[in-house]
Amino acid sequence: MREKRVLEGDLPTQVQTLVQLLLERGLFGTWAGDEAESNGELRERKLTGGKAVWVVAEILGDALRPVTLELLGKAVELSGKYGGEVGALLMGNSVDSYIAGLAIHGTDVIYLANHQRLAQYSTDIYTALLARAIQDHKPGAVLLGSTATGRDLAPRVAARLGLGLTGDCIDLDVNDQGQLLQYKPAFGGNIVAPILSRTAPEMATVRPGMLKKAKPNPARQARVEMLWPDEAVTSRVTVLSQSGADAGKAAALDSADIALGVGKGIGGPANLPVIEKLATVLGGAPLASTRDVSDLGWLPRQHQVGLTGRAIAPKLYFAIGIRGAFEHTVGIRRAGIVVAINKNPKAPIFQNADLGIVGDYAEVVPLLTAALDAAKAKR
Amino acid sequence: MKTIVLIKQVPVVSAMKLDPETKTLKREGVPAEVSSFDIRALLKAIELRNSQGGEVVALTMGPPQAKAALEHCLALGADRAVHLVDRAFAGSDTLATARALALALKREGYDLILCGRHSTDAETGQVGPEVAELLDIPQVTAAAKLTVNEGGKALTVERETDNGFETVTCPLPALISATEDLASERFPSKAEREQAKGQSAQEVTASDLFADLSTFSTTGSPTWVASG
Repeated sequence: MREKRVLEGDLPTQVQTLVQLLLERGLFGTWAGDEAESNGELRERKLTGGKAVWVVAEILGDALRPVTLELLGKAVELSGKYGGEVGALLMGNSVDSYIAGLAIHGTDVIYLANHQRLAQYSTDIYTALLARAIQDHKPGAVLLGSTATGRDLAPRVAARLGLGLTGDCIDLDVNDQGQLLQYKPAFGGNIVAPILSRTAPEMATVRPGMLKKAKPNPARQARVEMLWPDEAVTSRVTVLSQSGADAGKAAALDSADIALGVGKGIGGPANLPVIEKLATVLGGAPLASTRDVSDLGWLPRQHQVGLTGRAIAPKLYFAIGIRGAFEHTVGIRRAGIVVAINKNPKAPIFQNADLGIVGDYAEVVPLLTAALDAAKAKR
Repeated sequence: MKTIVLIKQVPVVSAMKLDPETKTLKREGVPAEVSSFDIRALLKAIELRNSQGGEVVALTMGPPQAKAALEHCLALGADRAVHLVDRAFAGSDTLATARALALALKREGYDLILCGRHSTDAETGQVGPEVAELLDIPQVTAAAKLTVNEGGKALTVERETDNGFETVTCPLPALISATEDLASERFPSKAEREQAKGQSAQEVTASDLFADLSTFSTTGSPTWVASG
């Protein structure tokens, strides 16, 4: 439930009140509940030959994706109950540099496929490799991120092996029978259903930003087993070109503590620099967009948050010039504090926000940027 | 070119309310629509047919009331509609659904299969790739742009990735899943709806597709919803 508190006084007063409240709740410091956030130290588990839990690792830019580390945190927890190994599948070209990162986050065994043919993701080649690895090594559970790649690869492998798959889960657990409970939201998050599989391995993709990473243990090492892509499998789809553009920053929405949502109320893309200044003061917070804003092309589609976009869970979300349609607000259900800035006091966003300022973003955002900058300097 | 568009009828999610007593979703009286991404896929298929000829078939598996979703597709310009409708399909998970659709697709024949990137109710995005795998054809997910190459034997597709876009080529037959950028949204005019009234969807039952009905429904589904 949101607080729905609309601040009072003239705009500068409201902005000061807002900054004060945000500082009290952890801005520029430690967010409430952050201490309990991590799963704590990696405890060494007893391996009793139980079900192995695999994580399909993903690399974005030149680092392991946050969702891979989140999945490993959960895999460590699950394997504590199963008494089996945590395995990570690392597929790509010249990816051996990521072995250490996987090991210190709890991986016992890394299945490494390091080959030129894997330099780019290919549905055909990766499906063949993962399906074969599952058949050869028989893990008990296979987890992937619900990312562009995870959502392309997982159903293909599931259909090839005749396996059940639960897509876009928000949590995983083990029931009394040792089965993997896969918590799957549906209807825009209106319900969360626990799903079970009758096939082995149990397979699930998990939405980024939902699970907690384990604290790394720099002393940990992992065993490495090599996998080789099947030379007979070629990619039917050929990649001609790739463009990162501005959309690269959108991936940061998955794990950002602070995100700035932009609605049609900002008037046009020419006004984005005002928002970007605020983003800079907030440590480079990524921008989120409503469906309207992406339809209009003001921000790339990857930034879209809501029913037909991504669901995010930052500690703090600013909804700027956002009316607050259901289409958008379902995507911020799991956000911590929601701050609404909108000149229309009747906008539904105020019913879906904790703190609200009724005012023109063009006046409020520069005031807020200056006030936050001053507050940050004092810390 | 024959294009088959996989569509799903979904409840209008914004109109759904939780029953405060039972904490379950009230389904009664909630209006239904065609999942938004599927509409984009259909409109793209129609645009391709209008410029290059061929046929567009809308295909769904669903309860009897899903007929309305197919009628909507006919009003938007689909040439034909096929409805997999049978109690023997009820309770199918994504893999059992993909099996039924793949069997119907084989029966129907196709050059291109289009679908939405995921439905707005269940949001799995699995059925498309599972169908492609069962048919052993290539797939391109999250397509934002699509053109048919000269000669009509391959496609050039721009697909959305998590950090940008990539342009790929893909031979036909293939399955492509649509993002909202693939075509602009459109609603049928009154005249189009009137005109579509004369057409109806062809109904296909489970036994039309496969003798062993245990391949569908809960018996053919490797996943199930745990109670509580």
